[in-house]
Amino acid sequence: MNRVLKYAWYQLIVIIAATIFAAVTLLIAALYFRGKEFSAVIPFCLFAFVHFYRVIFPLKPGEIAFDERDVNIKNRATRISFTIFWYVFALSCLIPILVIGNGSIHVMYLGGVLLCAAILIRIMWSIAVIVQYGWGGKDGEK
Amino acid sequence: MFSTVGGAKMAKSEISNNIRRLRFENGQMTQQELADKAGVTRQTIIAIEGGKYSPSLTLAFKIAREFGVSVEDVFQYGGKAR
Repeated sequence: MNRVLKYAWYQLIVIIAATIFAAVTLLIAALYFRGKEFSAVIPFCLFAFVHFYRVIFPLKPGEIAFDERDVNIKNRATRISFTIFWYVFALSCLIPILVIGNGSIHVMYLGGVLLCAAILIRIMWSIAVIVQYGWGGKDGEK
Repeated sequence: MFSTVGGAKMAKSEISNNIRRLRFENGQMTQQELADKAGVTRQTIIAIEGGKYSPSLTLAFKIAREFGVSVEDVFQYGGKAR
């Protein structure tokens, strides 16, 4: 497994873990600590672990971090993730119009949409990279 | 044979290669050794050998140089001439 694929799996696991942790926190806050639901944002601090990748998996001497094929795969994954982000973001902006019409939305709605979009971009990027490497099967030779 | 992008057809790679044969003719060179010499990852060499990835010109020249042959001896274009 090369470093780009390893990073994609690592990022996917960290983000999904943080999202599940946040969802559980939100559930507990909603059930037992009414009015403190905002604390569900705290588990998203785990996202910082994504940037500790280089510390957790240091580059070995002589090891090549990535090459031209990896760059192509990363660029394609970025295009795919941003395309999906755009469609989801546009759709989420249309939902209030369709549901509420000419009314007003909660001030947290845009923040929530942007947070979800940020999570979605990262998840889609990781999945796009993993799929392009053939799920890492046969040492990611696809 | 073809992949579709936005309704338009795009020709897939028709480049074949002799990397596997050349590796064995050059002292049973491993994929890792070739990857290290060409400055790429082993997975990229595997993908090129399997015809799943067409390398850039720079990488093609690097690989050919490692075997001491010309690019045409390593890579062949199988497409029809227009």
